[in-house]
Amino acid sequence: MSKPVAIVTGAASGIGLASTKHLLSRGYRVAMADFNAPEGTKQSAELGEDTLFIHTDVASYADQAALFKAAFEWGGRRLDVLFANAGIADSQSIYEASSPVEKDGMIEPLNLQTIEVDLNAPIQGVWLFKHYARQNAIPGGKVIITSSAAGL
Amino acid sequence: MSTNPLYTAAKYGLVGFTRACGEDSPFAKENITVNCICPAFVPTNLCPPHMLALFPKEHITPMSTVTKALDTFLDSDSMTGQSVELSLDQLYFRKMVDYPNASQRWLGEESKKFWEDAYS
Repeated sequence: MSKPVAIVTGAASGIGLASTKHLLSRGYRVAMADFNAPEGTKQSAELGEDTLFIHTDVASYADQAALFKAAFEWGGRRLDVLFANAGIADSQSIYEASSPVEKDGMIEPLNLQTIEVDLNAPIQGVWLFKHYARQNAIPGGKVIITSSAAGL
Repeated sequence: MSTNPLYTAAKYGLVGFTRACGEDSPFAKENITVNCICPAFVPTNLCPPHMLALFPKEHITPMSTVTKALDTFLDSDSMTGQSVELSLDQLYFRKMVDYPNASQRWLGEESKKFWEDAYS
């Protein structure tokens, strides 16, 4: 039987990297996604051929859709686990002393990249995961999302 | 987390999303489980590196607690919709806030059929 396959986002460092190693120790093959290409490539090379690094900006739906497609094919047309872990701190401080003004006198919008990466991307991830998990020999799979104690 | 209100909003959102996609959802019927981890302070790059060394050690949650939580979810085919807080070496499964009255309990626990009909 083929090895189970996981996608880990934010896999080049921190919780994502430690979890990648843990999944490998449990016999998984891991598609490692990260925005940081040099670090992701390096870590994947060190961890060996049960990993595949896929440079991904999870805030880009096209990137994340390509990640899932590539991981599913690489894994032998199976996808068992999504660890939606990539996250960033606030992309701009809402408390900034000055409000940037555009030429027409309107206030520029706040940069909400944090919402794209930390919230919208995991939701798109579940949307994509469902599509592939349904195609497993035994349909189904497991999603684990990294929230925070700050989210309780 | 007053230093990071966008991060806080996003992470709150993930807890709600996880609960909605849990045991009452169609995902549960097709063996897709959705759970989330809510780590306390685990030393990673999310904390500015020059501050990491200064964080009080007695409040650091080790990576081994994260892997323990992953094992808990990976080893269960039925656990879904759960939010687990990770603090020090412990896992705390956190429930939704309690209902303030019987009407809200009905809405939360017994109105499912109504909403399924409404959105079908």
